[in-house]
Amino acid sequence: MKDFMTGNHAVANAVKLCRTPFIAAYPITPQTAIYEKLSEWEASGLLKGIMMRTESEHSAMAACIAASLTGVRTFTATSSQGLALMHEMLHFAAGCRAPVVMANVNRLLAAPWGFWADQLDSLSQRDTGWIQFYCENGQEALDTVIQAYRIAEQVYLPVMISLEAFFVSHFMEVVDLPEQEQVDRFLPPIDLPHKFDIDKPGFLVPVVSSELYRKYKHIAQGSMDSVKKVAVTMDQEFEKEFGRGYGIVEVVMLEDAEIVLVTAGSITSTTRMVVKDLRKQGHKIGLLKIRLFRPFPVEAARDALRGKTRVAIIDRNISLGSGGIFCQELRAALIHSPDHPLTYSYIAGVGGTDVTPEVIQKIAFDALSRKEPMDAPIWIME
Amino acid sequence: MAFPEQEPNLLRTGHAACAGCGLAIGMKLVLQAMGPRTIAVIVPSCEGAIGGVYPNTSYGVATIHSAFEIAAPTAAGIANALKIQGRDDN
Repeated sequence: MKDFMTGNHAVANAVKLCRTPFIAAYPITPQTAIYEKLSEWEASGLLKGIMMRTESEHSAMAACIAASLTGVRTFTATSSQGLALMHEMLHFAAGCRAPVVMANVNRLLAAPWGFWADQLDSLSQRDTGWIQFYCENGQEALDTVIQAYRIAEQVYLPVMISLEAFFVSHFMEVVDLPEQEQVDRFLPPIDLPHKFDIDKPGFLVPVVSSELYRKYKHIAQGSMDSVKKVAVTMDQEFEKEFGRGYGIVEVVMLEDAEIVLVTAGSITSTTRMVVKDLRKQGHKIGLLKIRLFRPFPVEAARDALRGKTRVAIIDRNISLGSGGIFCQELRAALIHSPDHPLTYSYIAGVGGTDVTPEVIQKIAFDALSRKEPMDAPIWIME
Repeated sequence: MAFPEQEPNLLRTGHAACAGCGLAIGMKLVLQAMGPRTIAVIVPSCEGAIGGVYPNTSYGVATIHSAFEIAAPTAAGIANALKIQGRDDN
């Protein structure tokens, strides 16, 4: 059923369709509409369950972990400062192997203050053991929330779905809302094996020896790795049921590309237009979209870029002292590629600055014109 | 007035508190009063140490050892989830 709504409301609708009965959250611009919509539905009974309006994001994540470990499907949403505030509990959730699903609206981190789109908030959390997806638009965010529950409840790792502040969270588009029966078919009721059980009491989260901690991390790494395949399978199943599929990466016009632009999030949408236009002008240009960031789709990215000579990665983030984070990760993925392509790191859109088709064109031509490798990121300002 | 010893003792022997610790005695009495259908929420503190190291624990009830400042939302999360599951007769 088609409807017209913001990315935030698309996410809220996904949560309702997944019949998530437990939400613990705290409002923060630009996530607030997700919180408000879920709150309205919970209060009216349209969303069956309980919504805890916690005193902080740290508490929200703790409540989600606890509820998840008691055996119910949970959800929270946050952004920027809120995500940073729950940092400790992000590690805790992954360590508990709790299948919590969270939407993060990518917003720049203070200081200085701002509310605009920047990916650093979620990328800063890439070591916490959470599966991470980056969505281009509201439809993809909605679909990814539904897929996320299947993935999380299979591998027992929490999932973070990122959508950019305002460009996706507040932008209204036509969204295809799946029917409840379709979602019920795709997403069975949760049945956690390690739920908190008063009749068979256990001790959750003990102190362990070094060797045992190492063993847990080793096992978790195996589960995280399996997500590269699991996410593809779930996406294919999703496509069969709902008619839409995304993959863990997506390639556009890559076959004879002399330069490949690598993007994530809403910049991908703009880049699709630029690639089409530049192709019409005779330039051999292609696009690689990274959708799954954790685990990093090493094999898929390497396969997509095999034989390519020149890659320009556009990062709407900057890790001070290093560079764009998608670039870092992609360079690491390509290190063993024979005929390692030249990779150029472009910083565009930091702080929510607009990444227009002109900016992307500028990046493409800049990368094409370079002869020498360049480690440092290249900042593109309008 | 002396408290009669009750069975079962829900804070079992072998806990890791200091000898003579009042907190351990307090925990034992609280658990006696609350009974076996209890979920204990513990945060990093002496209580966290009293629990012991895997694979042993002295707690005789279902227990969760969570992080700093997080006992209240953890407990609320569990309570609400039990309510959702229709298991809130504890």
